[in-house]
Amino acid sequence: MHDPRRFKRAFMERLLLSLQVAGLTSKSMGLRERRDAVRLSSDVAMASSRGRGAPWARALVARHAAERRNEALLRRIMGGSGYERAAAAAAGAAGRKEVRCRKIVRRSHRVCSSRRKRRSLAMAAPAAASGAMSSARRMVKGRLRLLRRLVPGAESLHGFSLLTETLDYVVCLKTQAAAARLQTCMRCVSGVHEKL
Amino acid sequence: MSSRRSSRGSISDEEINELISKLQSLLPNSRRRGSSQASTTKLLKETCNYIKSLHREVDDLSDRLSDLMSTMDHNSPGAEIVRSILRS
Repeated sequence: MHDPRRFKRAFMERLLLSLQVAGLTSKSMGLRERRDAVRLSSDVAMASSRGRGAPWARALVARHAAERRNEALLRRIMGGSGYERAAAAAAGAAGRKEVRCRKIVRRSHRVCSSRRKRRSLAMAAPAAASGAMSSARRMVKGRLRLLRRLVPGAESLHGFSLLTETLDYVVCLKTQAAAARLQTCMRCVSGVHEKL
Repeated sequence: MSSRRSSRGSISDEEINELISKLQSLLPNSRRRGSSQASTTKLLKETCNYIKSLHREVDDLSDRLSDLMSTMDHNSPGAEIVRSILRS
C-alpha cells in the first residue's frame, strides 16, 4: 500500500490549493454552494492524492463529475484533461449501471419463479446445522452488499477485492477526516487570534 | 468468509485472515477477537458503521470549514501563517 505520511502531506497541499482555486472567499457565494465546493475540493484532493490506481478514487471523482453544476469548479481544480477523464468515467458508469439494472430485472424474473419451486421442495427437510450456517452466510452477504454501496466504485467487487478496496478506502477516509479537522482548527485559531 | 474466485486465482486463508485483522485494527475500539463467522459479520457491520460515521464527520467539518472561510480575511498575516503551517 501507499505511504501514509506522503499521502497526508499531498492531501493537505492539494486541499489548500483546491480551496484557494475554488474562490471560496468570494462573498457572493451562497451557503449551499460554498459547502458543496468545500466537500468537492476535499474529495478531489483525497482521490488525486491516492492516485488513479485506486478504483474508489476514480469513482469518487466521477461521482462529482456526473453533476453538470460541478464542471467549472472541477476544471479549475483538475485541469481540462483531468475533468474530461472524470466525466468520461461518469458517463461510462451511468451506462453500465443502466445495462446492469435491466439485466438484473430480467434475471430476477427468471430466478424468482424457479426459486419458488425449489424452495417449496427444500422446505421439506433442512438439517438444523446447515440452516444456521446459511443464515450466517446470508448476514455476511447482506453486510457485503451494504459495503458495496458505501465504498465508491465498489458495486461490482466481490469478496477479497471488495475487502482490500474497503481497507484502502477507510485508511484514506480517516486521513480526510483528520486533515479536515486540522484545517478547521487552524482557521478557527487564526480567526480568534486576529480578534484579540 | 467465502473465498470467491477472483482474478488472482485462489486466495489463501492466511491472506484473508491478514486482511481481516488489518481491517479490525483500523476500527476504533479494536480488540483481539476470534475469527469465527459471527465476528466476521460483526466486523463488517462495524466497518460499515465506521465508514458512515467518517462520512458524517467529513460532512460536518466541511460545513464548519466553509463557514470559517466565508468570514476570513485571506490577506491577513494570520491567514498566511495558517497556510505555511498547513503546507509543512
